[in-house]
Amino acid sequence: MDVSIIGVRVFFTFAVLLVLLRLSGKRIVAESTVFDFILALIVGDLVDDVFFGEQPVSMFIAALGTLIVLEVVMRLLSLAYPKFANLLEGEPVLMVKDGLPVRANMKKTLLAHKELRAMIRLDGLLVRFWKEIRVAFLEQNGHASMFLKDEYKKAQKSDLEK
Amino acid sequence: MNANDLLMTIVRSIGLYVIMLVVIRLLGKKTIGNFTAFDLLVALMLGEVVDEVIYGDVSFIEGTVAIFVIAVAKYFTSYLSYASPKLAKILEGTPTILVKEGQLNDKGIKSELMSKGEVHAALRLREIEDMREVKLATLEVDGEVSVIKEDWAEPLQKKDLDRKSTTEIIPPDKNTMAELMHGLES
Repeated sequence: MDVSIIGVRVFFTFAVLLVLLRLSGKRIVAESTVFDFILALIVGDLVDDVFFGEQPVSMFIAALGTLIVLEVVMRLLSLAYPKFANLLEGEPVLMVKDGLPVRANMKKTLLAHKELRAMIRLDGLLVRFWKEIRVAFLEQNGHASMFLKDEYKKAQKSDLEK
Repeated sequence: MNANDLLMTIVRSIGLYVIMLVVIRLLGKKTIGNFTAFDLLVALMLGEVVDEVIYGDVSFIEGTVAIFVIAVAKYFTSYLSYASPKLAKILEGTPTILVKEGQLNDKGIKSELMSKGEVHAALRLREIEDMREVKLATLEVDGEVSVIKEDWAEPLQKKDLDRKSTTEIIPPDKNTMAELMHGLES
């Protein structure tokens, strides 16, 4: 196999990828959900076969182009119809309310108590301080978002007496 | 290389996109948050299968079956992890303590094949320069380091200030409230 041919293919594929991704907008590249992550993996795999000449570039462009068009269409539909967005990506799920875990939701998402503790730990809170939590959600991207009760929130300049 | 091949590629891409959407939606969103090595492998496997089908090296049916089997296996292990803490330990591992009350846990660090430098780096990324501020630093199962500071190192909380109730509290705007309340209602 001629090494220089591989070099040319890589360069060309890279260029095509760059152009198509830039045309489709910034958020296509953001790995905000699991699906986006896997989409990124698929794109990476598609590129693979072109480098080594196992698939023609036209196939690559057809496949990549289709995926990007679909992504853009999905995002436009999500913008226009919030209900569709919910169906597609789901909603944030309430995991902790008033310091206590919401067991029904934990069961629904198969989140074990240990995992919930770990998620909250990643946000800097130990279990015995859970009473500080007003609500905590599991977001679409899999990360936790926490909202503390008013008195436990970080102090702001506005809290000081004038 | 003819137009028909290209058309088939496009059709397969659409089909797989839809299938993947459904599969990922059903498997749940937790997969990235507590993303373990296993989850990454599953993602890679799915990506590979999709690739093969899009390029026509594997038939659509075979590809869909493979995706389905991988998804079911993943769901099965997720359920087992949830139901049995013992199995969760085997499948996902346990968090390891790296720093406790200002002291490095050499044993734990070594067991994770980490260097002290890496631990320091993880702390620096959390804007911590003095290890004495650390109450507990843990290497979680997804590879991230969680840091819990000592009480005295924590930023001020509103309750720490001698606030008079006459202080004007600016309520969040309607849109923020709606977003927060929406989550409470569900």
